[in-house]
Parts: sequence; C-alpha cells; structure tokens
Amino acid sequence: MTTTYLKLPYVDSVLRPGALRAVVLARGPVGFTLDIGLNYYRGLPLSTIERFELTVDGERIADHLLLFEHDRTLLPLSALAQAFTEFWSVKKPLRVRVYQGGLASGDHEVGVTLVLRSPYMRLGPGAWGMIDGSASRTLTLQEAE
Amino acid sequence: MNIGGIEQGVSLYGFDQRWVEDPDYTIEDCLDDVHELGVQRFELVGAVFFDRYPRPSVQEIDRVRAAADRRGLVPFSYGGYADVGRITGHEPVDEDYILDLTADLMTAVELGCHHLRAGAVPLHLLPLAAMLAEQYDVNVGIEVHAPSKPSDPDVQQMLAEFERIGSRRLGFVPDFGCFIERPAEPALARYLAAGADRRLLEFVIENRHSGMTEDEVFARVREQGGGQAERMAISDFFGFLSFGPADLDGFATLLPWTQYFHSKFYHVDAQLEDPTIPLEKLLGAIVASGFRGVLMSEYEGHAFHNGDALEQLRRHLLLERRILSGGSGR
Repeated sequence: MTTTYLKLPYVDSVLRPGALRAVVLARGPVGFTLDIGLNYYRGLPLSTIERFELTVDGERIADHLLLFEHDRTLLPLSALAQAFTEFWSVKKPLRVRVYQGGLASGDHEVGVTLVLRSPYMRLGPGAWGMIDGSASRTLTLQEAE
Repeated sequence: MNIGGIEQGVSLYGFDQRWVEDPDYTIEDCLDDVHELGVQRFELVGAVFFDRYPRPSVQEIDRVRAAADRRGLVPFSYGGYADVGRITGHEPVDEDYILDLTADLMTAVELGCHHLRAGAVPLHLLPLAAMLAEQYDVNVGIEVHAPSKPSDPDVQQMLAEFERIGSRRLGFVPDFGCFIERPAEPALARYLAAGADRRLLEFVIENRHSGMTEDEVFARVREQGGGQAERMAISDFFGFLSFGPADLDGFATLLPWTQYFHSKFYHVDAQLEDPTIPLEKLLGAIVASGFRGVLMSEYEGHAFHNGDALEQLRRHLLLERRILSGGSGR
C-alpha cells in the first residue's frame, strides 16, 4: 500500500510469526484469530482506526465477520469508531476473531490494511495526522489453543 | 550526575524500538538500562509505556514505582498528551483539553513525578493549568518541538502568557530536535546505500538554505553528475527531514521560563561527536542562564531502526558531561 501517511519502521511487529491461529469449537474448525500489533511508537485508542481491511490468500474477509477482542470486550468493526476509551497499547496485540469456516493448515498470505489517525496531531478542523499501520506477511496457521 | 546544578536524566522514550518490538522487554528491563547508564532521574511517557491510557491501572503505576525504588531511580517527569482527537468526528473543545491535562496530572502524582510534559494546552486555559499545577504540586511544561522553533509567533505568544500569569508552575520543555542543523549520519547512510555521492549530499546540505529552490538545487546536482539517489535526498531535505540554522536567539528567550530540557539526539559517533545538533552552544546558553535543573537525554535514532539505544545514550551522556565540565563538544 503506497500512502504519504506516517509509517514507522516497526512493521514486523504488526503480524508476528505466531499471529494466526485456528479456532476449533465442539464440532470442529470454525475460523481463526489474528493478533495485530501497532506499527507506532505509542498506543492509540481503538476509535482512531479509520480504515481496516483483512485479506487471507488474496480474499477479502467480509467486514461483518470481523470481531475485535480487547480486554475481553468484543467489538464489531462498525463499533470501533466509538471505542474511544479502549486503548490499544503497543505491548498488547489486538485480536481479530473471524468465523468464516476455518483455514487449511499450513501457510497463508495475510494482509492487513490499517489506517489510524493521530489523536494529538491536529492539523486543522477535522484534519489529523494519519498513520499507516498496514502490513502483509506469510503466516503459518497455529494449532487451536 | 549533577554538574554545576545541571542533573542528567534519561527519557525512557529512547528505548522505544525495543519496547515495541521485543515482547519480553519489560519496564524492569528498561529501568535496568537506565540504572546501567548511571543516572537517577527518568521520564516515562504514559501512552508508550502503559497498557491503559490516559488513566493507567493502579497495578501498572505500582509496578513502575516499585521497579524504580528497587533500582534507586527517581521518576522525574511524566510525558502526557492531549489526545483530543480520540472521539471520532468531534472537534475538540475546552473540556477535552482539561480532561487530558487532569488525567495526566493525576498520573504524574501517582508516579511521584513533580513535572509533567503536558500535551497541547490552549492559551486561554493556561491560568487553569497553573492553578491545577499548584494544587497537584506538579509543574506543567509545554514542549517546544520540531517543526516549531522558539522564535515562532505562537511560542512567543505562550512565553508572553507565562510572563503575564507569572506562575513558576508553568514553563517550557524545549526539545533539542528544534535545532537540527544537518541530517544525522544514519539518515545519510540511506542515500549513500542507494548510490548517492557524499560530496553531492554535502553540496545539498550546504545549499539547503541558500535561497535556491528544490528544483534549482537538483539542477546543480545533476550538472555535477548526480541522479535519482541525490534527488531522493533533496526531496527529503526539503520535506520531512528538514533542518536549518539553529534558532539560538529564540532559545535564549525561553530559558527564564524553562522547566527542564529534552536533550533530543539522533546519533553520536564513537568519537563522541554529533554534528546534527549544536549541543555545545545549547548547553553553553543553559549554563550562562544560571539554569539549575534536569537535562533529559532523549534518543530518537530509533527512527533509523539500528537497535542501539543503550550505546547511543551512553555516548550522549558522556558528550554532555564533557561539554558541561568544560571540555570540547561541538
């Protein structure tokens, strides 16, 4: 993704090698979880997420299947903009839970498009500094916990 | 270490790369690094080091305090923000600034800090900030940070407001990143690796403020055999990697109203030289002003991703000591 947004050199922290994990419930695989780290020097409120898209092996995951887990709170993508008291720390990845039927074992090409606004960097009315937190990486599906 | 009334400290912000990238690097490890550097006072930036912000949990605060106590370290200053853009679609109003200032003051007290590097505070709220600073016994410092310069009208307006209010609870935290006179060596390394000629890079640096436009500088570089690598450097030097003559006269005007300093730096070489920031002149002005207080070393070379914070801080503290003790810096 080419943008003029601020992009720090911590991109390898966004999708770490063990970030993709299968979810298996009582009757079998249902989906996966993906842990996403911030490519920024400090944490940010979840409400600053302006754009989020997830692809696995080139296929876009439908927005309504994205459930964000933060401190045991489950939030749909559409609620993130209001989640201004939920703070995404640089030490604690944000987990996305996706129940799309499960992924095959092995490697998967995962892509996250993530744009956040910098809540302290006001450039003018309605205009804020923007951060590009996007990353893509080949991840090996970890076994269900 | 205290040299002539000036005490060196370290901002934990300098350890940001390892903090973000290494899940096993804890606050205790970070404070071990501070201890190893031989300083006592440190600054902690809340939004970097806490899992909850703007109000961290009691457990998080207790953990920092206990780790500092065990190492004989002193939480000197707390780095706050005004995250007034946290509510989507909402234009910030006074209560947003007041909330964040109050939250950060409360946290500073809990940490045992008597100084807050506050986020933005609108001029008309400075009297309230002075009152809260008095009540909480925490001084409120407004950072003067690049791309701002001390002589900028808004900074001078704030200075006039400090003088008008007359409270010693308010003041500046000048950040030495305002005084970058040339790009740091690790920044140049990127262009050199892309095939740039060092002589031409120096030509660009020398002529950045000669009155020539970006296109005119490139035309001159091309005449001398330069190409795309130099063009990339020119574009950056006229853009986000901006630098220029240090505003030392403006700096002098801030000194009577300075709480403490962010001694920002990017790279000190093995010979303890840093041509990026005129540290000797800045420290000379501080000493001449009669300032007594804290000089907080703040490494920001993690922008170059070299994983060298501890060694860089060690060198920077030595360089400062050498200058403050009357030796040669630059």
